[in-house]
Amino acid sequence: MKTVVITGADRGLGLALCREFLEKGYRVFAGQFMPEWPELDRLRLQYPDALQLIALDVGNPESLAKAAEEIRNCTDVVDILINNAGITARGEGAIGGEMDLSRSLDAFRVNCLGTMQMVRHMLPLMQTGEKRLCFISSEAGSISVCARNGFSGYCMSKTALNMGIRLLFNRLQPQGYRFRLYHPGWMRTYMSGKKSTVGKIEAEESARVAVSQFLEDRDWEDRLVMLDCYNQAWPF
Amino acid sequence: MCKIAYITGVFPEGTARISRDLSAKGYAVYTNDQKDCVWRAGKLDLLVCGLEWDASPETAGAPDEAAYDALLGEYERYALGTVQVVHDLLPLLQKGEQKRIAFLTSRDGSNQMCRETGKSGKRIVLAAVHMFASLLFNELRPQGYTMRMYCADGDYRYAAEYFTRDRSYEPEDPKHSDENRLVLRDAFSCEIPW
Ligand SMILES: NC(=O)c1ccc[n+]([C@@H]2O[C@H](COP(=O)([O-])OP(=O)(O)OC[C@H]3O[C@@H](n4cnc5c(N)ncnc54)[C@H](OP(=O)(O)O)[C@@H]3O)[C@@H](O)[C@H]2O)c1
Repeated sequence: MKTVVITGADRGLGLALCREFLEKGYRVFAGQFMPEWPELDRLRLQYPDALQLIALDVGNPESLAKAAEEIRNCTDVVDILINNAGITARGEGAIGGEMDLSRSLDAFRVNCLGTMQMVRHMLPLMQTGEKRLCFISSEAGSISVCARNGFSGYCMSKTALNMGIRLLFNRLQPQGYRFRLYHPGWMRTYMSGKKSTVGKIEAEESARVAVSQFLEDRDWEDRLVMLDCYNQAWPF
Repeated sequence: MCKIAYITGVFPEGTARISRDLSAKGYAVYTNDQKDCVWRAGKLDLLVCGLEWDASPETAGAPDEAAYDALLGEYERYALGTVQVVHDLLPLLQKGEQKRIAFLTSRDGSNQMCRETGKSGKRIVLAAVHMFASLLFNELRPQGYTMRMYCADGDYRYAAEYFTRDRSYEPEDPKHSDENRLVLRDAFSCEIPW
């Protein structure tokens, strides 16, 4: 049974990814950030053996270390790590107006730093697995096609993440790690705090495409490419 | 009234060289802790935001917990600190005639050129600031601002020239305009990819 670890699995894309992998017969370690949200618990009733919930706040080093230990106690091998947890920097304000940069720092702590630390904690378990490192980034981090304006700690955090992934790629790809960088599209998820009614795609549709990209074998593993939910490539 | 320039965040050697070159071009130049003088001048024409600092020492191979702490600190100080500087001085730039913001940065912030594993904290912070510059450009260019991004990497000789010379701009033909796009350039004026 192959093993996958998914962060930010309570709802949105993370939850949809859990479902996909469970249906495919994987053992899933789902990072639970919001124990009060019922969907993961419901899924666990459906897959009591294959789904394991792990308390995980990727923005908190202690929580990361504890979660890693818990996973280590349950398995010797992780085949796939999916870094999905992400937040906006809601409330940070606008340049020239009122600003609260602590929100922007939080976005960096979770979206970039949390992801990098999660990779560090999981690597010892991944040496003998399939070595698939998957990252949910965003077009919002792409400077080459940046269309937004003003100030956005979210965009900055995703650009930082993309650079962090590049550095990991340079170090780990020669060791056989396979990198998947995914922009899930504009999804109707919970990033604003409640289920969005605008957006172009449901998390479930995006998750299906993501999983096919994450699991496919490529004879071009020495390239770091960001693909989206339409299989289009995005420049950074 | 002469043009006012303010330089912050550049290494001392670069600050001295760019100050000298800008003064020769007729600017009144203030640096680092002379922010109050800019406020007294009542306007700012050219803001030079440097992104130069001694990066925290790299641990061999994978970063450890301490490296992450250092990175968080660097991000707060240099990435968000840069946002704060621009935010603080925007009202004065608004009153200046030139309305130009220049970032003095490094090719280490280029994701597409990066084939290495070192200087990871610095690269991550610089990339994020490049995104900030891009967002800012989209916001401010329609208001008449212009921007420059200069990868100094120790070579400050042409910074002032690059910061002050206007670039091609034909309002009737956007394709001829180099002011309507944001690019990273090195000291030799060559474009560096993002
Ligand atoms: N939605 C889009 O259109 C879109 C577009 C491009 C990229 N993305 C990316 O896609 C990924 C998934 O986002 P989504 O749209 O599915 O958002 P979502 O519905 O908000 O799901 C993300 C989940 O991660 C959780 N989370 C927040 N902070 C966390 C932390 N510190 N540690 C662990 N989990 C945490 C969230 O909890 P809370 O709800 O309590 O915050 C939520 O359960 C993110 O990386 C996002 O940046 C989304």
